[in-house]
This record gives sequence, C-alpha cells and structure tokens, in this order.
Amino acid sequence: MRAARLLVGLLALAAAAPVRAAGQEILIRAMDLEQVGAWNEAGALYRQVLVDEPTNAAALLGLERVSVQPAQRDTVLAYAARALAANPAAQAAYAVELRVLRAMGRDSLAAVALARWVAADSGSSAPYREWARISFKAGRVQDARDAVLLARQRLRDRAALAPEMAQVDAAGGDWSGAAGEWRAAVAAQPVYAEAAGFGLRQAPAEMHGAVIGTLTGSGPGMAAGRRVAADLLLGWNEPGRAWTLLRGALPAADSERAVVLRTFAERARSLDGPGAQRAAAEAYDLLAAALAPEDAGQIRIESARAYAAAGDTADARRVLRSLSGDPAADDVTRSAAAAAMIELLVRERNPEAAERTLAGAGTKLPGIERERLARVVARGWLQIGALDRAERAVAADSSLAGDEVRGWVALYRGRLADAKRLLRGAGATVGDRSRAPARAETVALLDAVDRDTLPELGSALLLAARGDSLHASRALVTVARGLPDSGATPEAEPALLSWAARFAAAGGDSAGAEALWREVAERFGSSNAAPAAELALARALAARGDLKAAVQRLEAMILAHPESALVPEARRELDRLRALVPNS
Amino acid sequence: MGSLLWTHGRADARRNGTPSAGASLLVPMDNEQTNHLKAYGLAYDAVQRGGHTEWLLNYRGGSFLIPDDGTARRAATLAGIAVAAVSDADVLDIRGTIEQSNMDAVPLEKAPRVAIYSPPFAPPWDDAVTLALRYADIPFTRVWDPEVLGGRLADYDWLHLHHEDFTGQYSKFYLTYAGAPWLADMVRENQAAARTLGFPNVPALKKAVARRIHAYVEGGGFLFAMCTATETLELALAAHDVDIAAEYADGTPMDPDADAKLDWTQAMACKDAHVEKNPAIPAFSDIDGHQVNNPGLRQPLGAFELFNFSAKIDPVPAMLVQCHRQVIPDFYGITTSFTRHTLKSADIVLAEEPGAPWVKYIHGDVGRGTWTYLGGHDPEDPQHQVGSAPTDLSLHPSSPGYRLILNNVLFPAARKRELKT
Repeated sequence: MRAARLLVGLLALAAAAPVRAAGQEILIRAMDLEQVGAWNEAGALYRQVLVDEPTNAAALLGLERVSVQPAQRDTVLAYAARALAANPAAQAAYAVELRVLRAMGRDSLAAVALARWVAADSGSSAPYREWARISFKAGRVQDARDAVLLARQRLRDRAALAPEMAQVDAAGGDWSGAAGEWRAAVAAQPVYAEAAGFGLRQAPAEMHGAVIGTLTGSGPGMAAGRRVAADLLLGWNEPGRAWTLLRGALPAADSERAVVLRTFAERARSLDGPGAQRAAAEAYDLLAAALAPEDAGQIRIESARAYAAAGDTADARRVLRSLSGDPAADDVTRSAAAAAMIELLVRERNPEAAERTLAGAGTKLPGIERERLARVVARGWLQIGALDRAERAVAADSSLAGDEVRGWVALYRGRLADAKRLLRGAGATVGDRSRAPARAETVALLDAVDRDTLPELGSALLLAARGDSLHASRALVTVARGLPDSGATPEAEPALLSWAARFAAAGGDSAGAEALWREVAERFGSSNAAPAAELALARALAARGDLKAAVQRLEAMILAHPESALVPEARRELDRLRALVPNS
Repeated sequence: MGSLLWTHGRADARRNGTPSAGASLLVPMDNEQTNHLKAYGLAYDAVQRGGHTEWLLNYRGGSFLIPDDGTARRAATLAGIAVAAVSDADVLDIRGTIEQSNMDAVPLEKAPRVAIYSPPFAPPWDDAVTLALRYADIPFTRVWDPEVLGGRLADYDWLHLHHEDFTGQYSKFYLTYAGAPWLADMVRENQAAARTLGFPNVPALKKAVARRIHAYVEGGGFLFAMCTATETLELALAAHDVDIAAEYADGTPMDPDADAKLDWTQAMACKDAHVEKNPAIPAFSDIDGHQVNNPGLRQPLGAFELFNFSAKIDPVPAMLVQCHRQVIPDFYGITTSFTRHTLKSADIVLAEEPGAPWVKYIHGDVGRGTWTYLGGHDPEDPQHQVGSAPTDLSLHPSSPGYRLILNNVLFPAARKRELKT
C-alpha cells in the first residue's frame, strides 16, 4: 500500500539521519517506543533530543508522527519554529510546519509558511512539492495542480515536479497527461521508470492506446518513454509490440543496455504464451551480444530455451549451435548447451539427431546427466513409434526410470502384463513427476482390461503416443467392441471407451467424445468408468452452454455413485454451475 | 442411533431405488460433519418447507434435527452433508442427554428473510456473508441506501453489513487508490445516491442510513455486521452532529475536536473512541485493535477463543458461538477486532483473544432487536487484499469462522420465547 511504503520510507530516512552521539541513544529509544505504539512516551523523548539539538530532523519528524492529537500540534509547530530559528535552511522543519498547519486547517498561515520557505530556498522545488503532496493527500487535486504549475513558472522549468503532476493527472482521469509527465520524469531521472510503470499500469483498458501513444511519440524523452511503454505492454499482454519498442529505445552504454535487456527478458520469460517467450528469447540473444563472451554462455542457453518454449526450434538450434562452436565457452556451458540441444531435438521429433548429439557429448557429460538424456532420447523414439531404438537407448540403464521406458515399450508392443509390472514399479516418484498420473491411469486401464497380451491395444495406444489422437480413438473403439467375444472382464469395454472418448476430445471431435461418454454412462452405468464418464459428459455439456443438462448429469452422478472418488469434484463442479462459488 | 447416511443411503438406494425415510435426520455438526456450511442451508430449507426443525445447542457441535424425507436426503447427498437417520427412540435418547448437560434444543420456526446491504457496483473485494449464504444456498435480497431510506428494512428479519464505510469516506481508499477505476465508480455511485436522495454529500447520506439501521434494530430487527461496517456504523451514529469525514469526502476538513464532540449514547456497541485523523491512512479509530493499514500500530494476528455459554440460560449467545472449534485463527479486516476500552459495559463478548486488549466477536441488544459484530474481512483469507480473488468456499466446507456467520443467519429463526437474554 502506497501509504505504508511512504511511512516506511520516512522511518528509514529518519534512522539514517546523522545524530549526535549523546542524543542518539535517546532517539533510538524514542523510535522503539513509537514502533510499539507508546506515542506519548516517544514524544517526550523526541522533545528531549530537540532541546539539545533543535535542528535534529529525525527527532522533529518523529515528534510530528507521534503527535496525532490536535492539542499536540501547537507543540510540534513550536519545535519547528525553533529549528528554523537555529537554521533558516532546515528543509525538514519547513515541511513539518507546512504539514501541521494544513492538518490544523490553518490554510492562510500555511500559505505564509510556504512563502517563507520559498524565499529561503528560492531555487528549490521542495516547497512546491510538499505543498502539492499535502493538497493531493487532502483530495484537493486542483490545489496540487496549481502548486506544480506555480513551481514550473517560478523555476522556469516545464518538467519540474513531473511525478507529482503525473499523479494529479491520473487522479483526474487524464491518463495521457500522466503518461507525458512520467515520460519527462523518467527522461530526467531513469530511477523513476519503475514508479512510472506502477502508476500507469492501472490505466483503464480504453486508455491504453492513448498512454502508449504519448509515451512513444517523437520528441524529447522518446527513448525513456518507449522503455516505459515496453514495460506496460508486457503487462498488458502485448509482448511482441513491447519488444519492438524496447529494441528501438535501448541505451547506448553497454552496461545500461545490459540492465534494461536483462530486466525485460526476465519479466517476459516469467509470462505465459509464445509471444512473451519469443520476446524473452530475442532480448536474451541481444543481451548475450552485449556481454563479455565468458559471461554470455548461460544467457544464450536461456535464450535457446525461451525460443524453444515459443515453438521456434530453428532459432533455438541456431543459438545452441553457435554456442557449441564458441571457443570462449567453458566445458560446463558446453555440456549445458548439449543437454538443451538434445531436449530441443526430441521436441522437434528428431531423436536420431538427439542421439548423435548425445554420443558426441560423450564423457564431457556427468554419468547421471548422460543417463537422463538417454531417457529423453528414448522418449523421443517412443514419440515416433521406434520401439526398438527406444529400448536400445536405455539398454544400459538399470534404474527404475529406465524400467519406465521399458514399460512403455512393452505396452505399445501389446505385452500388457510386462507393461503393468514395469510401470507400476516406476511408482509415483521416478523421473519427471508430471508423468506419474499418466503411468497410474495406464496401470488402471491395464487392470480393467486384465489381459497378458493384446497387440491391438498396444498399437492403438502407440497411435496416441505419436500424436494421432483421432485414429487412436477409433482404434480403441474397435478394440473395445471386439472384447466381449474374446472373454474380457466387464470393466474392460467401458474403460477402453472412456479412453477413446478422451482421445476423441483431444483430437477435436467433441461430438464423438460426448457420444462415447454418454454410452459409458448409460450402457455401463454400474461400471467403475461410469462416474468419470458422467463427469466428463457434464463438463462437455456445460462447455457448449447446456447448463441445465450438465447440472442434471452431475446430480445423477452424485446420487448414483455417492462413494466415487470423483464425487467431491462433481460437487464442486455443481456448485460452480449453480454459481454457488466464485467462478475462479 | 443411526449411522451416517452415506452408508445407509447407498444401501437403500441399491435395494429400493430411492432412499427410505425414517423419523428424523440428525445433522451432526462436530468433526463427523463433512460440510458444515452447507448443513446450515439444509436446516434453513427444512424450516422453510415447514418441517419441525430443532437446533441442538452444544450437542455434537450444535447439530440440527430435521424431518427425514426424500428431499432432505437428496439435498444432503448432493451437497455432501453427513446426516444420520434417527428413530423416535434415538431422539428420546438425545433429549435425555440434552436434559442432563449444558445443552438445549431450540425449535426453528420461521426461515428468516435475509437482506444484505450491498452497493450496486462491484468493489474489488469479497463479502464473506454473501459468499457463505450463496454457498449454503440460503436466499437473500440485496438492499442499498434507497431501500434503507425508503423503509424497506421492515421487510426483512435479518440485515447484514460487511465492508461498508458509514463515515462516507470510501473506506479511506480515496488517496491510496486515487485514479483506480473501481474507486471512481464507487465515488460516482455514492455521490449520485446522495444527490438523488437529497443529501449534500456522501457522509451526510451515510449518517442517515446508519440512523435508519439503528431504528431497524430498535424495532426488533437482527443486525449482523463484519469488518469496516461495524466500526464505521458506530462512528456514524456517534457523529450525528460532528464532521468526522476527511476533506475529500465532504469538502470540509474534519472537526479538529471531533473526539470530544462524539455522542456515544447514540451508538450501539462502542464508547469513547478516538477517530483516526490522517486521511491517507485507511483506518478509522481506536475501536479496531489491529490497525492493519496503520504502519507502526499494526498488530500481528493471533487466534480467538469462543466463550462457552449456558445453552439453557443464555440460548442467544450460545447459538451465536456454536462451532466445532473452540479456538479459531484470527483474520484481518480494516476493522479486525474491538478494543476492550471502547466497548460499552452491556456488550456481551462472544469471542476474544485471551490476554489481548481486544475482542473479536460481540453482541448486544438495542430496543427489541439485537446487533452482532464480528471483526475481520474473510475468515479463510486472513490478509484479504484489494483485488484478491473471492474465497472459494468449496475448498473450505468446514470453515469454523464462516460457521459463526451462518449461526447468525439461523438465529432469527429460533422461536421467540427461547430468546431470553
């Protein structure tokens, strides 16, 4: 909260102010008492310090903070006057005097105090800034604006108090004006960039265009304005435009450029979506070019990963290749680059090249990392249906993670009993945990089918592994329809049809999926697969706007299967559809 | 005694297709209950349908006894509420236990008509009571200044206030959130309401609304308030002739002698409080003990403890503290708690943080009605921020803090003769 930050800032300033050794201990005790809310006691100690050191700014500001009762304010004024008598240039005392008089509602005296401060420090913007801030806090926005305009006129500086004017403009709904003021402020002092972003980010959506237009227009401060605009556009989900703007407004100095690029790249990398990832990748790319070669390696790897996350594997490969041929890169960087390249090639469905890269990296990679990457390669082979190659890739890997790969190979070959044993053995914690649910679901399917071998099922699931969801769905339906004749368990057909429905939905055939779920729910109503099918069907109905039917399905599911593990999920869905809980 | 319906219901359903009905359903509210919050909705619905419903104070966490019928069983299963079918003999046993202990059975006779005082615009924070009523599926009507000043409160048995600022200072967010679109909406809507209803400014409008609410309670209404509404209602009532609003709200500075001029005889719960004079600090007075937005004065959160009242002698406070937890983690609001030194001597403290100079939950009478104040904003989001997502109660179905809110909703349903305190 802004007010909280303001007060913390004041305390920090007070603590940093120089104090005489004799008064320092008393001052620290006063601050401690203030922190615990013993304001009267703290006030007494602040006064004690001021008796010996009338210009002690920390004590005077402390006394102001703890003197909240109207009757105490005259006392604060007296100490402020004493400080000014001792040092007519004591800015903190003028500020205290102004604030107290305004808080007491003595506006005419406050105006006199302001004039006195201005006369004592005619070239400073501080008196006007304080007046503007006090007015703004009191909701007297026009008074605040007048104070800024007066400062600009008297100081002959059209950009004076730009941050204050920006807040005044924003409070009045003039977001374009606020953007112009922040542009001037950041151009004069780049440290304001973060405050500008914070202040302008709250602009309503319909004002975004005007804000960006003002920040990016030609004229003085254009580069600063564009950097602020880039930051805003990132937050407003326009990463491509943000990067274009920033690239054209980078500081000339290498060190400054590196800071700006790193900040932008890290922020973009933390956002979702290919646009943000691509912007991050390009920013990292440029950052690497601005760094010394020995510092650029890890940045390039990050750039490659961001390109890959953006779906741009060609650029990711380009960056990684440049790194592997870079004589300045050390062994650690080269190993990391090789690992990133292998993952990238698998993502590109090119396990052949991934395997060659792994072989090329040879002994440079630590043993555990080499085994992990071999499994990555094996999964790449699985993705394209090359089961023998997958098996060979992990031939030397006797770990449970290696067993997992062998389990999938067995599954796709239709050796269901072996697959069940190996996948179950891998448990929930082996390898990448995100794959554990898939293992558990597959084991459950194999339990339902309860056959030692079934090559047709392996082939159907391999189609899905290769990304062909629609053909996998049809193949599974064929397997399911053929089961009763071959003496399968009663759970087998509904389980297979449920999987077929899921693949149909993943392949975009929502009508086909809905029909299959309906069949499972209605024809196999007492099967283990029925509650999940009912829930999926209800969700499909809700997704196409038939809320009434969806609610009926959910109610039917809960009443018919009250002990299903899916009932809590169904209840939550029911609450959501009936708007009993927020739609989060 | 019957076992939980999950088992019964499934067996019945498989045998007969529909659940069978017994004499009564016991809705336990101790740790056996799986969805405490929706259980209140089940009891409310039973009362609304005219069945003989009883609130068994202090019996298994404040259980309910409702008629056993297909509608109740279906609703319980759908909502995941644990219920147990009990025979007449079981009920006799329960009554015997109640007779010999600090327990009582209070008949619930009339489903209260509930009004929530809520503005027409959507502020960027949640309202715990709206969330609780919606989740429990208890019907309510929204009212705002025009309805209150138009005399419509008489249509309702129970009125809820939450984050409203009856000092007319927009929760004192005017300065810290200057320029935020939601604040602009809030200011515009309030100022328009003040103009339409013939008041010179928003603070004057809110004072008039506060007086109407006071009159509603005096006339027999049940008032429940949380968060800022508690403290600002008290301040607005005490400040009927004093300017306690910052300059941005009414164009004139706060009366520097406001503290001395406040008339606490007009307030319901509080006395001798001092108003916060800094317009930039979103805090109102020293009624609140925690001062969450007041740097330097902010107090850390602890836990509060519910008092044990005699169910037979003090059924009203006993109803208000029915819970399956005696100690509940505290939660912030702009008004989190009530300092002991600002409480009137007649106030009944329902929950406190032992040893702290503040209490959490208070109750009292005014005329023929009652008021109940619970400090804090959202029991399941202890540091709810402006803009935070509303709490999803399906993730907190047994929230003890939210139970306190729902106790308040059902308490007006209790038979009048039972309301002795």
